[in-house]
Amino acid sequence: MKFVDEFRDASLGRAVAAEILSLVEPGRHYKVMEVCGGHTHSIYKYGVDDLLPANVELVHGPGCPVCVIPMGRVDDGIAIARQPGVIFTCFGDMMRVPGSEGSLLEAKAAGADVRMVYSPLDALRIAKQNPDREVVFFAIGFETTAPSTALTLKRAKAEGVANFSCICSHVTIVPPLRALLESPDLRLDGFIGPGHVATVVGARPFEFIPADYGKPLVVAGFEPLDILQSIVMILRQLAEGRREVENQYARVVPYDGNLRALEVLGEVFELRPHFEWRGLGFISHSGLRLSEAYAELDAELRFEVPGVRVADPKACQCGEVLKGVIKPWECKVFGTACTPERPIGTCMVSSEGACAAYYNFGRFAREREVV
Amino acid sequence: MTPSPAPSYACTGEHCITCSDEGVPMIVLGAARGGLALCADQEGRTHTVETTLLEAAPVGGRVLVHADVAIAALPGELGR
Repeated sequence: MKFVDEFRDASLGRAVAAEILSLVEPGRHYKVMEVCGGHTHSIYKYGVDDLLPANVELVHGPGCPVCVIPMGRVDDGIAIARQPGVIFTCFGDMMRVPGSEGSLLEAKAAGADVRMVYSPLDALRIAKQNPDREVVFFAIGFETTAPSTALTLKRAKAEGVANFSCICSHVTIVPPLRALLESPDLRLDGFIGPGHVATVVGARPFEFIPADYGKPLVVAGFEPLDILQSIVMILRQLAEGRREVENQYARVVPYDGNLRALEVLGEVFELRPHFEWRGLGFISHSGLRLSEAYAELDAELRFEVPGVRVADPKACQCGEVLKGVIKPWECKVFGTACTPERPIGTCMVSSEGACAAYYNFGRFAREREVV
Repeated sequence: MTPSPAPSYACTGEHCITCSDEGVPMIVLGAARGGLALCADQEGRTHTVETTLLEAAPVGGRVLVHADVAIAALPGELGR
């Protein structure tokens, strides 16, 4: 298939791997963070890390939207789902994320009307089909997903769908990256930037990383050769003493992003002063809420929610995993008490989560053998 | 490069629906009406897709879709 097969070509992959080998300095250890959960998934699905020299380490960042949702937000969603007459809609993996008293899936088993949807538009469709019920959409995701929620809210408002509302847990990518870079226990040499977030926001918002922190960032696509090429570009910058934002995924990502999408986001959402991230704590201006013009569709105003901060389970080390301080298999409960079937931490819930990616694609057994 | 098989309980698609960075390439089958166009993915499944974020979504054109919204026009043939 054009534009797919050539990005999965094994012989080309070996050639790029040889180029990577030629760019690394012996004795130097390189840590490169892939920001996006989609990259983490591809890296383990295709064994990209097996093609890297031992001194090039990939660290998994906070780019899985499920993984960063704190327990308190799940509790808020469950509280709304339990209200009489409510149809609560969310993406599939969100249903299994544990709150302090269970998950949305467990709330569904206990009688709440919780339904999985593939898009906010599906949720709006359910609202139109059930005018006598309140339909709430649990919005999660970074700037790639936020336009979909924004357009749905615009459509709901324009069409006067009064029984539709949204509990907004959308987040933005730049503030957590800045928080990570400020973290004293993290040393990184460069970043593989999120390709489809950049389709919306562009590559320009990442310029603070080389400018303020002296690290290269390369926006990358999701095929194995995209990721390998982005590593080459990062290593080449390091070797040449350059620190820049580069766009490996130029076939899709405009440097300035999708201006129409940014305009819609600006109309429908506004930044929260603070938003809690699992494992990372509260980060200023990192979460979105509905703007005043769309307040009538804000489920947090329409329904009573606990809004309580709930501490992560003590055994769970998702925070350290999300910051790249430890590898998933180094967590005390990885693969034992915490598995994709019975997740304790959110990194094990979504297939884009670092722990689930390790577990699902055989890294669990391999790493344990090394130990 | 061959992908590793995913276990039965794992997401079996290219990406989980909740992935913030999912992008599904599709081809536009029908002209947009009210901002919605009929599109098909690589497996031939049809979807109603919001296309208002694009300058144009002509029939036969390729678009990158996330959660039923086209976020970018794709050049050339269908691909990620």
